[in-house]
Amino acid sequence: MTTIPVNPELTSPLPLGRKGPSYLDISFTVKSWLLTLDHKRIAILYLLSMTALFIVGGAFATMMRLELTTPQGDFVKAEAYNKLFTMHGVTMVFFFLIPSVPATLGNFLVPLMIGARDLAFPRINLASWYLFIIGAAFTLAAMFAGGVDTGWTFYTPYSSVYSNSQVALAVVGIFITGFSSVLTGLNFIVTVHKMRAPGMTWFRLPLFIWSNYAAALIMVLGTPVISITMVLVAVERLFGVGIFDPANGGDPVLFQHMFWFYSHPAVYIMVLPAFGVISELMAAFSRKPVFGYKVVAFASLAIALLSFVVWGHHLFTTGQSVYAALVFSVLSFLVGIPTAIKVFNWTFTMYKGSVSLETPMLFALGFLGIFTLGGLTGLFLAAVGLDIHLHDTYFVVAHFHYVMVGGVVLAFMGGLHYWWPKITGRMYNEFWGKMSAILIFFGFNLTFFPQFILGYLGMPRRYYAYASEFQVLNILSSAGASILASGYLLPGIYLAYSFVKGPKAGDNPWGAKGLEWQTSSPPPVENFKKMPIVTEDCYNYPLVDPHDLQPEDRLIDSTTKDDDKLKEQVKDKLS
Amino acid sequence: MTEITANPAAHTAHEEEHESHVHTFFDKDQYPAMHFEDAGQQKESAALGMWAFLATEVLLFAGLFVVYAIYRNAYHEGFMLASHELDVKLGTINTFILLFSSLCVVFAVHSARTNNSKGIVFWLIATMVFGMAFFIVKGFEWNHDYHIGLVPWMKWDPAFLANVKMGDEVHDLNFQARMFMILYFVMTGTHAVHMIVGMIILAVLAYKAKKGAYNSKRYTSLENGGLYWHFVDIVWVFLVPTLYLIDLYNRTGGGH
Repeated sequence: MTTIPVNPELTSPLPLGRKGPSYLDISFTVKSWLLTLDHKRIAILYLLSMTALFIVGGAFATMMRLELTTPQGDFVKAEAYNKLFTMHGVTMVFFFLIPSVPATLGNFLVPLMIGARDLAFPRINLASWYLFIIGAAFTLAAMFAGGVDTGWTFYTPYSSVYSNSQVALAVVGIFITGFSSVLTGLNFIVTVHKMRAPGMTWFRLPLFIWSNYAAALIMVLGTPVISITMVLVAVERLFGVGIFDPANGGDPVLFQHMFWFYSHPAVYIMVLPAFGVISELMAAFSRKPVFGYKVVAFASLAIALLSFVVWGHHLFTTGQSVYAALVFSVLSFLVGIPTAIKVFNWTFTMYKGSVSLETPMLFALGFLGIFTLGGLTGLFLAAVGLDIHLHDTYFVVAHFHYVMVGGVVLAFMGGLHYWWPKITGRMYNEFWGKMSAILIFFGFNLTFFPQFILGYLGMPRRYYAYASEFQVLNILSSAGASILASGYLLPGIYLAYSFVKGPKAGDNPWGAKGLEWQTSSPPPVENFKKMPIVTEDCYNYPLVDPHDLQPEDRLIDSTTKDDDKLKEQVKDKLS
Repeated sequence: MTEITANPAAHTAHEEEHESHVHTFFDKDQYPAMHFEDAGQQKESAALGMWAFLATEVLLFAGLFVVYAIYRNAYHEGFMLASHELDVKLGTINTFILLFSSLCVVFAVHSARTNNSKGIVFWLIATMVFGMAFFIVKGFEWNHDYHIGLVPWMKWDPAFLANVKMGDEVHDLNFQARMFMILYFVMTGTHAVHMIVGMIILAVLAYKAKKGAYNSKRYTSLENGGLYWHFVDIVWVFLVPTLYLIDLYNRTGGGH
């Protein structure tokens, strides 16, 4: 196991880069940021706004964990607790997890990775950020006007008739944010179809592009359904006429069907882009092509497809017919296949590779462990019989935190650290980076693993007080949460420091493949000085000792897959 | 960015202030836009984007149609009763009005292809006139619905619901008919919102056409605006049989 030295002197301009101001240096006015059409600047806007919302959502979680350190409700009462977990869920799901990887890393990288100068519709891209901000403003307004106590799932008729909280404001916020998501998805689909550089065939696309493309398909096909469902809830609430209200002949289970038709695929909107990040990290830090590239690419599409036919596993306990439950159970198990393919292929990618444990790779390895556990516990919940026992217990809470938070946040952190030198042109402190990765991994497991046991023992979710025999595990969980929080706070400090005072990173500090590393760091506004022409597959890493790797070695024409020949080529270059 | 200024010195200052770069790369009037290789790529992108967007719109309405289908299956009798109260004549008139408006948009796009810039404006305005006519008819219809007590959250006392006799039993189908009317207003309301958006799009297109923005080489946004209007039209074509024409041959009242 070797480490690639980060070389701060590596500033030689690569052929596609550009001398002159970067997208960061082009202008410093507030107006130039708020009215920018540059996908890279919009990505930064998303990054900042989403970090703020993550802190808000995290604050709610902190208060919940504080409440749950004791069995009695001595910190907050039931009603306040209901509002805490609802606002935590709403903020984290709709305003952080769903948009995080596509809107920040995706926005920044999709054009760079396929050799385009921008996304296909720059104005729509900016509009989608504003929609996101307006939607978030509505939801924050709901918070300050007294909060929402329905749970992030807004189950009717409680949400539409009985709840005395700000449901209407919150659902309108989600409705607006939905448009933002649709527009981002549209932009990605059109960009990937129409804006690829010459030679960038579909099977040369980086897997990050494939998975974002698959996620964009889900965004475009799923989001309209939740939009109209939220409209119906709002209509029911505002006019007092019941479409989902059983008192008026409505069917509350219909709401659940429509809600989960989007919200289950939404899980894959979250994790598919995260998968893409992990594929990139695995290749770059193992210095090997991703094992089974095409299979991994098609697995993304398979997950996108399957995601639309599994929503019924959220309704095992609602009295849907036993046959429907069985079909949904089988279909849910099927999602395990493409997902497992990905996990196995990442593992194979590392096999006999020159694995180096830089910060991003630590995050990726953490992801692999946490996500696998999340996926496996998903199989428990897909089985009808077990789900009846585990339904609405802390087992479910632990499961979806392992998948969504463990999956998305770790991949997001890994991606952010990997592309940070590209985004800012500067390198962060490697020691603190590693420290953050380790703290997050241990903090996360300490927080959520006890919850599997709690749920198995029967502690229900969404309760502000619990039987005293659950206290030990709850204290462990709360202790883990504080470690996790410190792991999240660290990058805020050292990344901010790096942005101001970090050493210059150079254009390609990792010696990685991919068009985004071929332009200067930070990239110029147009991304590429001249149109790149792609002549080789992505991840065409020569298998050499990374210590020998010099910048010019990456320019070797490595169309051959024969590793020995590549090694010879590199040796010739070096001698 | 070429800006005609009387004072050349002011122009240079302006350029310096903005570092010219931002201005040139995202030039508002550049065609094709700077991030595209050529006009063909831009046209194809815009078309694909529009079709994908329309797919999302179809799915939005699909949600409503699913809700409708489920309740219609469950509440068959009440849906029939309530549907009988809707005015088929006005619905039919509106269908033709919208079909004609769609035809006008086609002529507008055709005018652009044949470089007939006056024709574009004329046909766009014709489309908007038909659109307004649709709203007027719809307004009369909603007003009528209100007066006979078919609006669930404002005035609900439909005469037909007194003691509905089915076989030997008397049933209360009130909640079923209510559900139909709620869905009727939500679906036609959602459609009306899309019509309003469509009218705004048409107005912008007409304004730009008047300024000579479209010709045989450049009419992508006109075409996409037309597509959106066709979509609004098609949704209505599906709404009419779903809402007005169910159980057409057993209608006793209605149409008054």
